[in-house]
Formats: sequence, structure tokens, C-alpha cells
Amino acid sequence: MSSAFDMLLYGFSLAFQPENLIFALIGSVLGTFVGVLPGLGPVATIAVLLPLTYQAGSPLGSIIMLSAIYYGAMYGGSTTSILMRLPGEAASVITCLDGYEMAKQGRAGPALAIAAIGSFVAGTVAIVGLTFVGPAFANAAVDFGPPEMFSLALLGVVLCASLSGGPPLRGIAMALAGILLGLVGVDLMTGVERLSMGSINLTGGIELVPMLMGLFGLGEVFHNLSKQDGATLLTTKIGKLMPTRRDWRESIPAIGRGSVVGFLIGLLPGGGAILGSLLSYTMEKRVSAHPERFGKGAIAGVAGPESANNAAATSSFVPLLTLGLPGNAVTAVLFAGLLIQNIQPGPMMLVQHADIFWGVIASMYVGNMMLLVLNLPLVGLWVQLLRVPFWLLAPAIVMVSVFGTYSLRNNWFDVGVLLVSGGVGYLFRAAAYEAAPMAMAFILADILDTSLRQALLMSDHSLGIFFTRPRSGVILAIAAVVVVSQLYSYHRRHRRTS
Amino acid sequence: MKSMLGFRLGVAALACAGFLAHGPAGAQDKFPERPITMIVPWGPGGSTDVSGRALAKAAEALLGQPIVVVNKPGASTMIGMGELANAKPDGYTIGTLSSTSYMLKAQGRQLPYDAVEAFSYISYYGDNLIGIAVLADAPWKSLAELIADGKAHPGKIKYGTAGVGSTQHLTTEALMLSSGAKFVHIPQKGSAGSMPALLGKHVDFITEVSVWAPFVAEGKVRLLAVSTPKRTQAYPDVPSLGELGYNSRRSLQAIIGPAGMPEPVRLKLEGAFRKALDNEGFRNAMKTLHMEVIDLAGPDVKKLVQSELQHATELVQRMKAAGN
Amino acid sequence: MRARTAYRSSKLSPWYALAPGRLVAGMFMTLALVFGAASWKLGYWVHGEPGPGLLPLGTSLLLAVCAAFLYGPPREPEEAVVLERLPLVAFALLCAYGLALPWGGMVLPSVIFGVLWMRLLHQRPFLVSLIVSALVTGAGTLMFKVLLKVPMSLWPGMS
Repeated sequence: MSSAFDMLLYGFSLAFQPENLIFALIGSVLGTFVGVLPGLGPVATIAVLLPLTYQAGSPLGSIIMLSAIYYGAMYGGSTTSILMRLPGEAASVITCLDGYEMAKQGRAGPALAIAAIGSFVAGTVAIVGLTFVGPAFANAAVDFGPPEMFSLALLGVVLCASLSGGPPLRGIAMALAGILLGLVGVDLMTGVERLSMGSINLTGGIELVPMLMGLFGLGEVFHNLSKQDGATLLTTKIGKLMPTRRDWRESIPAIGRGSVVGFLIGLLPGGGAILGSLLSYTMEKRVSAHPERFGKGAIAGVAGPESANNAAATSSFVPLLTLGLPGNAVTAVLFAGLLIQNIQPGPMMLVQHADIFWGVIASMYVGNMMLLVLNLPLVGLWVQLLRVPFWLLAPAIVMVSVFGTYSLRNNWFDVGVLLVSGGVGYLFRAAAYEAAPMAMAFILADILDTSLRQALLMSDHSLGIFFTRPRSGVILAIAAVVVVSQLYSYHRRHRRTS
Repeated sequence: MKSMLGFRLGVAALACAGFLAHGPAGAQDKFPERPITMIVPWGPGGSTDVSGRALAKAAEALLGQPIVVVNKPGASTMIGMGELANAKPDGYTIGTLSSTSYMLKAQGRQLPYDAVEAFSYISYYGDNLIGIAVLADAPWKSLAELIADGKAHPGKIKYGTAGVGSTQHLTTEALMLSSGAKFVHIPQKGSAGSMPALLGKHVDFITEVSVWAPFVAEGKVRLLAVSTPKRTQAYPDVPSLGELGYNSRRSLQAIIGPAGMPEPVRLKLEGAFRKALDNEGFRNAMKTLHMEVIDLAGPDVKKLVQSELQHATELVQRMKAAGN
Repeated sequence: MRARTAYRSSKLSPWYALAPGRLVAGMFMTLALVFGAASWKLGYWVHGEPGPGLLPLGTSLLLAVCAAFLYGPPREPEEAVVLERLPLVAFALLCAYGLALPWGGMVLPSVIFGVLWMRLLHQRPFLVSLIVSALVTGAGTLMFKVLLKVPMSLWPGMS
């Protein structure tokens, strides 16, 4: 322990060098910026900036900057989700549910503030975890094989279906449709084109971020058009900026739980921030004294998931740095960034490049502090966006979404995905279907399918493998409990009202 | 530091401005007069992207114009390759070629362009090193032991690769066909997915590009064979599949352009890109990626691609005949 | 839920005056049938191994059952709402914008789209629409093309 502490102090001495402080600052600001912008998320930004790291001076400086972009984007991503129901990147979908409702009630300030503070706390918790237990946990995480991943994804889908407050059948249908859409594209196992309807653009699957921006953001713009003209997208009411005492009481435990859940999920290969925020949201709904307020502006529904996605973003550095295993798209690009600097992430990293390892971790502490200082005053600025009249905001949202979508991978087809999703998103909104279960299931479909078939290959086609492996069995049991309790509570509620 | 970064962002912005102010397509002897676009048909961060960017960096100094690398990932390179095939063959749009692009053809996939003839071949730059790796505590000390076990217990040993139809997969299938061993393929999510599968003992061995390298250095993973025709300098003690008498497929990396590029332009590009192979930054990038730098002239690249495609096609047909 | 009843009644011709709830159920059914058929063709069990159609086929079947239940007469008042004109106009405008982009570059279609949106949907004066639209386009170009160096074509004929 003490050696980890000594090494951390050494890391701080590196992180506090003026040039590294500046790199952390540039990265944090840039990350917040691209997180707020729809479309262009951390992956694209880091990729665009990678060539610069060839000459950016020290390897440590460039890695500090690239990782700051990543966790900065996690901070910024929640902003447009709360203000405009426009998820700037995938991990903020859940934040739309209650964050946007809060904004509609004039509580955008507290929602943004809690998101920033929750992100800070979670980032810090995850960094502490990363420092002391990270490497040990990362080694255990590889035991999570296909059967466990399948069970976890199945639990995720079950939780998705219960996200919406409405009739369970709607949530289930949305989740099933999400799985189907998520399976479009070349099948990894056999290499055949699947459900792509002969379109070459669909062979790689439907691009996630344009779909999210369409379903949520554009759908909301269309929906608002059907109301009186001249109205703002939200309400003109802005209210208090800072959370009330009651908000704090509800948020603090949620932030704590979200941080732990996010940290653990981030360690898993292929886990990622999205699953973390989903699990955290449903957990908060379950432990809450007022589950009926979720989806209608419950602050715990913002605090928990926002903390979880930040914690997961941070802890996904553990498998990257200690095992050389990038668990998601962002860490894959960071992996390349390290390679460019002639640093091979992996088990030898702590021996060969201890300065990089501890320097980056220490810079994360510093960066998180910078982000909090940066983002809290910005809350006041962001809520002013709500004063922008709808006739101006609506075309601006659409145009920036189009620019942002194209910027993702320079493909016009993705813009088409954005537009179609926008139309469908409006339909869902008009028909009072919650789009979140579809979005979540869409993301999980790939894990579900791959791990199901990998597991069946491992077990010579026996389904028993999902039950006999202890971790997988436990997760499946939890999923079963969720289904039964969900049906029971809906049944009881329905009988009472009718 | 800050001013340096600001300066670089400024230079990049200027480069973009230059890209906007494109002049009329000039005479070929003046080529290149404006920035060159290089399409990488993979997402950022992969070995092709990293090595391609390093090479472009080295070549742009020799050409006197910036090379703008554009990632056009999707559909196992089909989207980026399709766009390159349809680009104007004036030398201002070039791209990278990886084996995956023509391997699709070998597996009978319909491509929206001719896998070989739609392109001009500028130069070659290297081979990906593919190795067969097991955990250090695994019972197999050599490839022969692994194969013997695979023959004695067909279907017991499971292996992972980046996916069906990848060079890694075809290499292993070729090994099974010529040795008579029977292993079960469990495709992973790209090369990055194979290492956790091996570490977590979800597969028994992997046939993969250099993802195993840091673990081999640590002693946690044992390398049984490499796929290059001869032993590689980085692992002089590890036998190559070639010397063991097995056939293996190469994982190519080349620079190409659309078909119909004027020969003077192609030669100018070939000259710059082949000279760039000596650049230190590029060499370092290749070393980190465990790729072998190989120099070939454009016409020879085309011959190599044709012969690899033919071998891969035959292999797939034999696999189908064998019931895989 | 009750708040969503704040829809005006329809003044639209019957063909698209279909309840969105039914439209969604119909979409689900179509998705289930089309994808179900495609998955069947892919094969759910191939060469004695789980095939690429396994999960999509199962999911399609379940979705078809759900869609059949959802496609009922509206049970609650908020399900009886109909689509309205403005969002449909907006959607058509957006589609035209999307189609124009690959040919016209980023700048011109964006400016025209912005002007049309503000004129048709919000009845803003032409000059105001033009200025705002040009400013937004300029800001978008500055952010993405110049600052973030995304390679995108700005004018017609530059690819």
C-alpha cells in the first residue's frame, strides 16, 4: 500500500509540472466542449488529435491531454441531455430521462450542478480505486468470459424494459426492437451480412450516436413544433441554480452507489460507461422511497447514472494500462496514442513506464478538480441557453446535429440515420413511448449475440454453461427476480387503479 | 509548451485552409500542388491507422505537401475501399490496403469494386506479425505438441482469432487442414478481444497479431510459432510456420490509389513512400506494432496481392470441402 | 402521462391522421416480420452450430407477439392523439436538407434549410432568418471544419 502511495506522490510531482498542468487543462476544456457538442464525442476528438501527439513534446503530456479529453467529455455530455434532451454521447442517454424533466420544471440548475458534482466525486472515487485495487481487480475481470457477459447483458435488457414508467409491454417491445436494430451488420462469428437489407452502408451496423441524437434530440424538436409556436423548447422558468438541502439528501447516496457500480462495470472487458449508468439508474429507482417520481424529474436519477458513467470512464483505464486491453472505443484510441509514443500498455507498463502510469493517474485527480472548478460556474451560463427562443434554437439544434453526425466518420449515410431516427423519435414521443429502452437494448444487442454464441461454442451447445458457472448463475438469478418483481408490482398497481 | 501547441493547431488550421483553396488540376510534373488525402478504411487507433499515419507523416516531408489522413471505417473496409476505388485517379486521393480487403473476395463476398483491378499500386510497407500463443502454464511446449493433442482429442482445444475470415483464422484453418488436427474456432471481437479470452482461459490458444507481445515479454504467455516465412528478428527462438513446413497467409500493408493513375504521378508517390520507409519515426512505430518493414515496388505489390488472393481462395474452397 | 393530452385535435386529411400509437405498433410488426424472415433465411442453426439467425429470429417472434397486443384500439385518451402538420412539414424539410447535403456541400443547403425552417415553421422575417441561418452555419463550420479539422466538403463539387 505504502509503495502505491509513494508512487502516487511521485506521479503528483510529474502532474504538477507546469507543462503537464497545461496539457490537463487543455484536455479538460476541449473534452467538455466536445462532450457538449452533439455528435463529435471523445473518440472522434482523440482520433483527430492523435497526429498532434507525434510532436506534442513529452509522451506523458500527450497522454495526459488525451485522457483529460475523455473524462472531460463525460462531464460535458450531460449538459445537452439535461437542457435539450440531446445526448451528446451514448453514456448520457439515461440522463435525458430525469435531467430533461427537471429542466422542464425549471430545475436545470440543480440537475447540471449535481451532474458536475456527482461526476467529480465518482471520478475521484474511481481514481482512488484505480490506485489501490485497480490492478488486482483487472486481473480478476478477465475471468468474466462469454457466459458471464451474456448474463450481464441479459440483465441489462431486462432492466431496460422496466425503465419506462408505462405499461411493461411497451418497454419490452421497445427493448426487443432495439435488439433487432442493434444486430444489423456483418455477423462477427460467420462473416455473413445480417439484416442489412442489401445496403453496403448497413454492413457495419447502424451508427449509434446519430440514432441517439435523432431518437431523443430531433424527436423532441419535432414534438415541440406540435405545440404552440413561439414557446421555448422548455420553460422560461429557470429557478435556483444550486441544489436544495433535499436534493442533496437524495443525491449523496445515489452518487456513492453510482460511483461503486460504475467503477466495477468499467473494469470489465467490453463493459463500458453505458451499462454502468443503466445499472445505476435502475438501482436508484429500486432503493428510492418514491420510485414513481423517476422519469418525472427525480434528482437521484441524474446523480446516480452521471456518477456511474464517470467512474466507469476512469476505471476503464485499469485494463488499458495494466493489461493492455482496451475495453471500449475510447480506450482503443488511447491505446494507439500510447503506441505512437513507443509505450506498450500492458503488464510491463508499471515496470517500464512507471512515470507514465502514475503521472496519468495523478493528473486525473488534478483534471477532475479542474473540471469541477470549470463546470460549476458554467452551470449559470448553460441555463441561459434556455432563454434562447425556440424558433432560433430548433434550427440550430438540427444543423449542429447534422454537422456533428457527419464529423463522426465523414459519412453522409449517418446523416440519413439521424434524420430517420428523428422522425421515428417524434412518433415515439407522440405515442408516449419511452425511447430509452430501445437505445439501451440497441447497445447491448452486440454483447448479447456474440457472447451467447461464443458461450454455446465453448460448452458444445449446452445452455447449462449459463447456470453452472457461478457468477453467470447469480446474475441470471438477479434478472429473474427483476422480471418477477416487475410483473408483480405492475399487476398490483394496475389492480389498485382499476 | 502552450505556445507550441497553439502553433501546431494554427499550422493544422492553415493546412485546412490550403485544402479549401484548391487550384486547378495542375500539370503532372508539378504534382503535388495541394494536400493529398489518404483514406484509411479502418477506425482510428488500429495498426493500419497508426502505421499508415506514421508513414504519411514521413512521406509528406518528401512530397512537400501535407497528407491528410481520413478514417472511413465500416463494413470490413468495404466503405473506405469503395470510396477510394471511385475517387479521381489524380494522385490526390490515395489509401492503405490491408489483407482484409481482398480476403472478403476470397470468401465469396460481393464487393462493389474489383478487389485487385480497381486500384493502382503505389508501394509496400510491411507485414503484420501473426503468432500462435498459449498461456505459459498451458501443457503444450511446442506447436508439435499442440497439434498432436488436437489430433488425439479432436474438438477439445478451442482457439480465438479476430474473427471469421481474418488472416489469423485462415492461417489456423490451413494449419488444421495440413496437419489433421481439429480445433474449435471461437471468434472474438477483433484482435483486442483475443487477449482477454486467452488470459481468462475462455480459449486455449490464440492466433493473433502482436497483442500477445507484452505478455510474452512478461513471461505470462508462450509463443509457439510465428506466421512469417522466416523467423523474425524480434523472436529469434520462435520457429516460423514456414520452416515447420506449414503454409501461412501473409497480412499485407500497402499504399494504393484508384486505378488509372498517371504513371509519372504514381512513380512520384512510389518514390516518396518507399524513401519514407527509412524514416526513424515510422520505423519506431512499426517496431512498437511488431510489424516488419518490407520494401516492394508498386507492380510487385500487385503480383503479391494476386497470388495471396489466389491462395486464400483455394484455401476457402478446401475448407468448404472439408465441411467447415 | 395526463399532461400529454394537450394535443390539439386533427385538421388533417385521413391518410396520415393515424394514431401514432398504432403507427408504432405497425412499425414494430413490420420490423418483426421483415427481420424475422431475414433471420430465418440466415439460419438459426448452421452446420450443427448456433447460426447468425438464432438471436434475431427469437427476438422477432417475441416482438411480433408484443406488436399484436399493442395494435389494439386506444385504451387511454392520450393514445388517441393524431400526428400534426408542423412536425411533418419539418420532417419533410429535414429530409430535403439531408438529400441536398452530399451534392451541395455543407454551406449552401444549411443556410437554405435554416431560412426555410424559420420562414415556414416560425414565420420569422426573411432577413432575420437569413442572418441567423448564416451565423449558425458559420459557427458550425468554424467549430467542426476549422477548430476540430473534420474533413468535410463545404461547397458543391468538392468531395
